[in-house]
Amino acid sequence: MLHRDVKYIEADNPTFEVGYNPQTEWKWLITLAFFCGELGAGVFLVSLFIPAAAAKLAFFVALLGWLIVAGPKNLFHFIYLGKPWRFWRGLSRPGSSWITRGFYATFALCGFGFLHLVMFYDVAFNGATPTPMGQAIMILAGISAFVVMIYDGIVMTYSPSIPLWNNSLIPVLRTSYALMGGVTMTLLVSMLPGLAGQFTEEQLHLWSQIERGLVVANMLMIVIYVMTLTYQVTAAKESAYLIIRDKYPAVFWFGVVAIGLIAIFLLPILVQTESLGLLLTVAVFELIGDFCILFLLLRAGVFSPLRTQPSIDVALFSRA
Amino acid sequence: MIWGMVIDLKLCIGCQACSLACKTEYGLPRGMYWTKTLIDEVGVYPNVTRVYLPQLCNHCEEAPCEKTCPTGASYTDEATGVVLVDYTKCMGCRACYVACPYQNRHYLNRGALKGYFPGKGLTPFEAQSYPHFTEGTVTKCVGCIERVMGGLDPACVTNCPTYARKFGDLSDPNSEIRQLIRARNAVQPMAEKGTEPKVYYIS
Repeated sequence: MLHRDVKYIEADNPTFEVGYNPQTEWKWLITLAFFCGELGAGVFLVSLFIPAAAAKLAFFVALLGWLIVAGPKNLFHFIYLGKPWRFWRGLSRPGSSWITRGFYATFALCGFGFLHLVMFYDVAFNGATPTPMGQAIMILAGISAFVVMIYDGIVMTYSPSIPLWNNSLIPVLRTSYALMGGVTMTLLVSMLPGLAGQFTEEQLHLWSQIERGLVVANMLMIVIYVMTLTYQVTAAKESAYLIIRDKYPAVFWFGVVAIGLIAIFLLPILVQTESLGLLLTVAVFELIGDFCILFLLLRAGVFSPLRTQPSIDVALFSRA
Repeated sequence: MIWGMVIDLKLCIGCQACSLACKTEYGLPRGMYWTKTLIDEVGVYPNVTRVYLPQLCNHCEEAPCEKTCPTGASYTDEATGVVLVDYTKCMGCRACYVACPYQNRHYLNRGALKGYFPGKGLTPFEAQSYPHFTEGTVTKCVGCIERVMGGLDPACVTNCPTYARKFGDLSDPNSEIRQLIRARNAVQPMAEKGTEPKVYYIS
């Protein structure tokens, strides 16, 4: 059952009362940086699994993913920092900080990804055979993309203060969304003029099926995630309450569930024919859903209320 | 010596003298408190009571803020065990802010050091204290380390009118705070987080 044992304290009206304080520092810029990082890395990683016969398509999908990471992701991260020109200091703690590891992976993806694109150009456009060096770089770029895709989820999971984040499902959920974004973008790019025909009918059908599978997986994960929240400590219940009923129900039910999952699952079934218009609509809906879930995860995060003894908590539970 | 504090909740009257003492000692910018006394209401009418909960940085042994810091700006002073921030290293990523379960990290936004009277310049007091801060970085309770090293108690302890806050050496088994911890079954805030706070509560 969802309930409030102490009140929710609005971020713009802080008080000295004990209550659920929302986190107020990770807002728009970090949401955009995480979103672009996961999407770009997901697109890049998926491009590496496109069959060799569609090498031209694989090149453009990899280029799209690389551009999203190298451009907007890095830019949003940079301008988010309080002291942007000290960003290089963020490389000094790989032993303990997942942010540092994420920085390294991002730089590695930018470097290896660029080299991969350069070496893959010949394969895609001149029909050359991939070299062992090219394949090694592709593997390194793929590993970097995987770390970029997953590290921000792990950063959130490692936060012991916000129970909404301190949940091992977060990295899995975010990875699954990143892969779904990657598959959706691949399907969209495959329909662009000049690339139509890179995928055969069977391949198009197979990738559409993969996308639908990921939609179902994400749907299940969101249901499980919300259910686990309602069985956790009160701050997690408060976050679930904020998401489902109180503060952000429109974003959750309309953005995440209706548009981000149900619509993209049903649209291809209802429309039947794969077309650029349909895939563009699905891609836009998928991006909206992906952004909305990340927005909710960051905005609905509340700290556990500060209290001295568990016995006080118990007294309040019995009141609720 | 290892910095430690015991707070007697029975003695705290919620007067916020500690909050003001800290604010005055360090000239903290508007809206920022390194220590404050929270108010909690417990019980069901007519059996209701108010609980005052003084809180400050717990200078944790296993500080999550220090572990998540990607730059090494957050560090523990080895001589005292106080967790500090090196403003020259902090890049303002605020990972420590979201990692601290006690909500005792504060980010200094750009423009936060404009003073209490916007448009009228800084008061002499603000002009003296603000150069110690850096906009775009995270700041926190410094455990009054310079006072402690000089043989004084932290400002919040000295200014508590009811002696609810006791300061001492956690490494000395015969210190007053160690005796209080033993004798009165002191509890650590959110001990379940595994942060090993150096602030204890007794009631």
